[in-house]
Amino acid sequence: MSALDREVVRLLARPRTAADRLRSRATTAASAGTGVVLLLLAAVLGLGDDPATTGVEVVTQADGSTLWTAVTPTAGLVPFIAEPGLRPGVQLGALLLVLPFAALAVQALRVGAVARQQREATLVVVGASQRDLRRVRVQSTAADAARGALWAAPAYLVAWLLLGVALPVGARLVPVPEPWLALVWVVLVGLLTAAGAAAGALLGRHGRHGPAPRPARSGRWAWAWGAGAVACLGLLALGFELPWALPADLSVFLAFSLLLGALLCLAVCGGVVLARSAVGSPTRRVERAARSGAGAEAVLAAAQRRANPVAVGASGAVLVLVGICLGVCSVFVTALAATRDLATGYAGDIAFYGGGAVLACGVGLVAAAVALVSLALALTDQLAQARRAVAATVAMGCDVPRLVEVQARALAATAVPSAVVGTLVGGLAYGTLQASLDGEWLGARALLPMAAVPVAAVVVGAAVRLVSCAVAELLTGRVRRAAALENLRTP
Amino acid sequence: MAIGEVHLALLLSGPRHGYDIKRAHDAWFPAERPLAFGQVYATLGRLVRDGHAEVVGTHSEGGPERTVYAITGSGRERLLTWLDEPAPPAGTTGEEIIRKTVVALHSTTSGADAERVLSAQRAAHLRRMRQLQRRSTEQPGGDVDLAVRLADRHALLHLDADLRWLEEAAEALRAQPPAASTTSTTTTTTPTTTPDDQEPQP
Amino acid sequence: MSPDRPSSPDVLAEPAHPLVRLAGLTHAHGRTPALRGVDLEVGAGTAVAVTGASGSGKSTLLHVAAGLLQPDAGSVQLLGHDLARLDDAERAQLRRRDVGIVLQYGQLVPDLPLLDGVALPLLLDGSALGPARDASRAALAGVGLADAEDAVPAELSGGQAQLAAVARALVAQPHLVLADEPVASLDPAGAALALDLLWGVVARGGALVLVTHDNVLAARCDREVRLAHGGVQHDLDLR
Repeated sequence: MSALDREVVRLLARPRTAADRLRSRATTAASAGTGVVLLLLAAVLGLGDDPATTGVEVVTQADGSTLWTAVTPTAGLVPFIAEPGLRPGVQLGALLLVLPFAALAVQALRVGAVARQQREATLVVVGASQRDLRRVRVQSTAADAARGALWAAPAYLVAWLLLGVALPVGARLVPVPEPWLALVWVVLVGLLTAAGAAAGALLGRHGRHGPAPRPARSGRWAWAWGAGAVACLGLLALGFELPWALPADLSVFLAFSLLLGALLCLAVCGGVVLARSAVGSPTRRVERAARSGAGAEAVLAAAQRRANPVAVGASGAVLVLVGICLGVCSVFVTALAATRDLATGYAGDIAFYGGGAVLACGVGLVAAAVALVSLALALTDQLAQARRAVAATVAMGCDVPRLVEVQARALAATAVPSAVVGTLVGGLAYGTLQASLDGEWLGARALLPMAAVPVAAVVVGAAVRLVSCAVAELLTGRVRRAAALENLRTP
Repeated sequence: MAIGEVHLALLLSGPRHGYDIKRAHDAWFPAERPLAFGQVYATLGRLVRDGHAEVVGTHSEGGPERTVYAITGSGRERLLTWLDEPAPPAGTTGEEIIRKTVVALHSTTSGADAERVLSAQRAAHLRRMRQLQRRSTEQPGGDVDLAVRLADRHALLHLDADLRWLEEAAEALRAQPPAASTTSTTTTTTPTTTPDDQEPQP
Repeated sequence: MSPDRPSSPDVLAEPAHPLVRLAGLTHAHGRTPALRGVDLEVGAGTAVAVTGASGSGKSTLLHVAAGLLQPDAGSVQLLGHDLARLDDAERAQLRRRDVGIVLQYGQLVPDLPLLDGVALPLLLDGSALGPARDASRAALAGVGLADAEDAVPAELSGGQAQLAAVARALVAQPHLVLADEPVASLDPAGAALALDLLWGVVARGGALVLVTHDNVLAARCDREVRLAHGGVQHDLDLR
């Protein structure tokens, strides 16, 4: 057992520097986001077959037969949540939405890593054991995670007011918080706190070996993850024949878990490739940029990405998923618009399908925002840690707007390719699948929606590039602070 | 030798007789040889002759009658002029440590072990420096006279300068093979330092 | 806790026991050898200066002796305990109770006020905040930093930070102090203060190992161990 007094652990775990506070806040935010998404998932899972929710009343008659009657679903939820058969899609979306928050948490815990390692080395000199250091780390990360988890319930209530009560009946996205949800919340607080503690304990393992990236190994991993993704997709394709042989509930479950697995594998694969591209020297790109007169920015941006392969990989993985989601939606919406019989008679169905696509896009955009925030967090942290080098760069004659341009480049170099590749993969894969289901591999009906994919990719790429520039502009203040020449004095 | 100016400085605070000057001098410079009476009176005579000092009377306190000297305006001027000229930064060219080290460096091929000479010199210096420091740090209450402490400090820092020079000399020795020495007659020895290797070649 | 648990009083009961015993220490930074078989014993009541040119292995020797670096070969015994036989927690306990360490760079925890930063060895040893702070206050007063107890290291001059590091190394009244250039950034008055405090350890029957390139400081010690290219060039008794 560590000999530390509890009061001393708290003293050492208390956030003191700007980096500590940023780490604490970002960890809390990631934990709160995860908590809200999981509460939402639990609320959807807990929705019963109550007619007020589903809009269908099932009456068992005296002779044993059942009578289905449509009633007004007074809960007013959107059909995707209201109808039990459609809920797995929403649940999958919620599960995937945990990923960006997990990526944010990973990045949050790395804020100020160099300073923390130096601090731990100093504590070792005066007699702290690894166990003591772990206790201090666990104390701070667990406290941050617990605080975030506590915020999850109020945040859910706000979400319910804004996305439930405030929306018209039939369009509500957040179920009413039932009393039992409080119990789920209590459990979640415990789980997230434990996860925070585990993350704190694991951090030390990285701390001792240093954050040195190992590009050679990540290359092999990319192949492994890619193979996993292909396997899952293959099983999924085969599975489309299978489900009808299995009990309905099980087949849906199987299909969704395979889809989830495939998406995760693809995302991780993309992240690893991106991390590797950040570590490897992108000489050609730099040379090209040098010819176009932006050599310094390109070199500095490449160096910045290289310094933080984990952030690049994690955010890239999330953005690949976001891209997949947007790609699928683009094909889906185009196909919907191209379907003439829907356009004539079934306006309600268009609202239904279109609404679903908008919802999916919305979830994707939330994920993209969180991913960009975590990437910006990584860059900010790096600016703070490298402020001496940044100041030296300014002293050499690189002005602040150019440094902001460096940030934008570093952001875009990760975000644009991930989102574009995701859009292409998601759109083309979904289009092909759809066409194969329709039995029309090369017909006009199959090709038209696919034509939307490149357009969507260009639009997504441009949008992400714009957002990167905007985020970099938002970071101007931090860049200016890091670039202050007085930082040349700091050791 | 600035002994005349030192005498003038000793008279600056007021008229003194010869014995008083000697005592004050010895207190100021505890590390130097005590001043001989003959030298005090010879110096004072020269100062009076040159108009830098003057006899202002005699003084007796039950003992023998003593001549009291005082500094003149010209003497004051002489002293201030002397203080304004920095001492020549000549270094200490005539010291044995230099002779010994240089000889050792040039004689390695004839059986001398320069490294050992340097190491022994370092040991001797360090021991002396330790004594000097113990005298001023181990007296309880810092009882040591300020003048003694300053003199010890001067000696200590000079010995430190010697040691740094010795380190440089040792470095130069390692960097340059002794075969390069013009006085050497054998050219096949290596600059290794064990005595066995340094035997003259047959 | 294992029977080999560090327990300082037993060690000092036997004054002849060397407080430091390094045997055949070898260490390389990557492929660059830093120490090549160094032997060193330091008895009670002794101050040893470790000198040598830059890159001769002085600081590496100190880090290995303090248990901050693992030797590639050879053994380190501090106060009779073989570091290789202690686990991480026991080594840490030895450091905070019996060994004071003063390093050249980055020695103070950057964000802690001095009062808590200097109290760290006691706090890490399980002491409650109150008594540890009292001891820390006394130690800070001893180095003339009584007014700076609320300051964080960034607000101190290099010399003040060095004095605080000396105060921290001595706050738990260690039997052995390992110091790397402890007074290099101090003015003469501060240096004299810090050295008097460090020599207090020797006077109490402890031992002091100083890494320095300052000949005057080396000549204050009882022994000079001079390193060259990772080996012992000479081991002089100056007494």
